[in-house]
Amino acid sequence: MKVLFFGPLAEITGSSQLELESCGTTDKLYELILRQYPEMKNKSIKLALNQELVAGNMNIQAGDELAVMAPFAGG
Amino acid sequence: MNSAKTKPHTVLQQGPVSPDFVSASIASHSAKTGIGAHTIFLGQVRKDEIQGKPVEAIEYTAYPEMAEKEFSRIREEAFAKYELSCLHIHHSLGLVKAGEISLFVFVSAKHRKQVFEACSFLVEQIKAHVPIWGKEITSDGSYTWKENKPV
Repeated sequence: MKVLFFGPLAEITGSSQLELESCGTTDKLYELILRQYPEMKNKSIKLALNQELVAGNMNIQAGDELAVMAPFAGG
Repeated sequence: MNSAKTKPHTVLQQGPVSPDFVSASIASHSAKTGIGAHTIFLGQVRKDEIQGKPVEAIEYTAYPEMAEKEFSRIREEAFAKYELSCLHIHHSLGLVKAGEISLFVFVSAKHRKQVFEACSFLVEQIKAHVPIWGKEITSDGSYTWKENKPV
């Protein structure tokens, strides 16, 4: 499963795109990321599924685009 | 329906928004004589001090596909909420120096109340919902990741 990382999070992972084990739901992905990158616990990260912000827990299908995002700073 | 509302838009651009571009945008609306009021918001990179060192520039990056989708959702919401003639949004990517413009929001309508409210709505929505990040680069080359705070 391909997962995208942006801004400060790509610095933590060392890459803007990682191949992570499939985990079925966005809640499980969130847990997996925090387990692998404990520094992200203090970053109030958000997930996006197919370029939409994840609200609640959502199922992940094969081929979905997942992204992990730090708080925004536009403007 | 005004065609300006439906044509595809690309908001993100490399580098700062130039004052000449802002001026040309104003001039290009003179033919739209149904408009009675414009508001313009310009976001300028501020020379904050971080641990005693001045911020020289912000380097912006984005999740571009999602950012453009969010800009387009925000545009549609503004058109649904307020009676507007047209609106334009431009946001920088890459390096923008202190004193340069990184965000240009331009809202036009028949009357002032609509443009004041819509402009404020748009800027708040952009800051809260568009996946853009910025590194504040200080004079010695070190940097801090910027985070938007609620007003």
